[in-house]
Amino acid sequence: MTLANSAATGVPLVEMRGISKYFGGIAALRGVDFSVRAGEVVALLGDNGAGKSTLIKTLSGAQPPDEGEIRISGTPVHLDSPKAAKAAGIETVYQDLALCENLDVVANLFLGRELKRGPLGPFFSFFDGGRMMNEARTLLDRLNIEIPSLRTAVRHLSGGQRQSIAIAKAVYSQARLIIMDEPTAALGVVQTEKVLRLVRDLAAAGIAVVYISHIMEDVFKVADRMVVLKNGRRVGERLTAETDRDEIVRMMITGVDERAGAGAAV
Amino acid sequence: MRPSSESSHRHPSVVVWQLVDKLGAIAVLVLILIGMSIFYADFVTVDNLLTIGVQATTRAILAIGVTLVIVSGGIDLSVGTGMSLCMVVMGVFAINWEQSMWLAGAMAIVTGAGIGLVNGSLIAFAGLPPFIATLGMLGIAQGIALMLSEGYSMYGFPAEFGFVAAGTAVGIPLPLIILAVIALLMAYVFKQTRLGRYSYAIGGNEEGARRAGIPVRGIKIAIYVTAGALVGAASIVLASRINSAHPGIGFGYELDAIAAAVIGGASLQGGRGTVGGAIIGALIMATIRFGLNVLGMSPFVQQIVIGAILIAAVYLDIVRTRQEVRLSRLRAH
Repeated sequence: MTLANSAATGVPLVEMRGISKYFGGIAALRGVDFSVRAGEVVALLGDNGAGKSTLIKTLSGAQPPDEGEIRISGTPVHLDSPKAAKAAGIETVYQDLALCENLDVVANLFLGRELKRGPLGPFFSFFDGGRMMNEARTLLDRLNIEIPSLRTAVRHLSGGQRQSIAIAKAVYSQARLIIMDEPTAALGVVQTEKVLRLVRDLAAAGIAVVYISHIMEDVFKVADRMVVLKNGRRVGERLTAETDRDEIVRMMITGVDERAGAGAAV
Repeated sequence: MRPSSESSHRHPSVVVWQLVDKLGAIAVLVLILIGMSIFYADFVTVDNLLTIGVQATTRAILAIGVTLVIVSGGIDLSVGTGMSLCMVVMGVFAINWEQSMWLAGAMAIVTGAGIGLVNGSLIAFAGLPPFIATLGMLGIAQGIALMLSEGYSMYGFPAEFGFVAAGTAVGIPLPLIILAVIALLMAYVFKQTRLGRYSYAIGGNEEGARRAGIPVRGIKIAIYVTAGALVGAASIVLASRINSAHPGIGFGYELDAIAAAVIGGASLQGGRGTVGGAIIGALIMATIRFGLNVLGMSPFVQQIVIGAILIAAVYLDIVRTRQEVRLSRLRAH
């Protein structure tokens, strides 16, 4: 049983209810319910245009919903900016990697929150390279991420290492929920395995993960639960242990939840 | 910290590239000096080197500012005529209005920073491409400089002002000391401040920098204001050397400054460049100009040579970037 998580019970960490989002007259999301518990990896599935990205953007504060409610640990919140989402402990790791390839690993991990030291405060201070290096080492060791040299510019690293650093950066932000958009899309087999293992490690440490991917094999390896969207509606959801690839793909294509009897009209 | 193990893990090709990056420009400088020595046995003398150094000062100060801009993925074409404008403003204050030279100098720097503020605002808020915003500013600064000076050179700076360019301290020409102070200050800005770090980040991945919570617009404005203030500083050194303010003298300096920055390792693709590189680049440009003068080449031909050098330097940068992108893609999979 994949869903061996003790944390997967109780109040959801994030609960979205009746989320709708319109662009002009077109509804990108129509009354979508979605929730994630601490320590749970939930895959968000659907064909292109199903509304995955839009749902993620309402959660990451990039595009606040037009209707619906988002609760974090039971408390209603307004995630009306990426900053608000970050403050609420929601971090997003993007498909196209938000790393600066010309900076080294430490600089990337600490980008936007550099540690400084110096006698004159803001007027004359230096980056605390030693402390940032140590903290980066500790963080990467804790997450079992192997990077030989943290002084290497990111462009010299493998795709898997880069993706791991992007994820570690989210973890360092005290994230409680990490959204991952196609994290293995550009990776080879070995590197994909490492990233998937990292995702499971995060869940084991109590972090909630929303995982978007087109690669079914990865999804079945990493997710506890799957939620299927089509045409902006939620079709249904399944525990990974209680479904198979064929059923999920059928749900994605037909937009019908067979077990719900009547099914969700699309 | 594990400094020894950190460096020992570096890939050999990385080390080679870093060496080329760091030493390539210096090697070019040495080669040019050696080459000139073949034509003129007594080319490399302390006097000549000091002269080259002093002549390089103005370009080096400009190149440091331009490097900061280039690091962030931008470009500043207005540094040349901007320098003319700063100089003329200095002349207006010191000569026309008979204000103190200190105030006049300060106004030159304020003017430069003001030009940078307009450049930065056009780029950060109006969304203009840096090339266009600063090209427009090139024309505007030139026009204002000509209006304020009525098109004439302005003479009559106080005699002591000549000390900035001609004076020495412990045997070292003052311009070199000024350059050293600016270089140290800017090396600090590049390496140890958020402004510098975020310039590299924006040049490396602007969207990534934004997502990391960096105030990209504010940083961009600060970058152009800093470059502009350096234009003001350069104008003081140059005005002292020619002992006047000349509304047409700056035009063309942008070519040298950008060439110096790129020769010094700054990449027009953004994300790369150093203060040391800018200075070496400026020394190379000054050495070439000095050498061409010694060889008796006309100023017209010199223009051609400088333009060709700029094109060649940028082409080399493109080749280098292509190679790195290829290597980076190979590693990604």
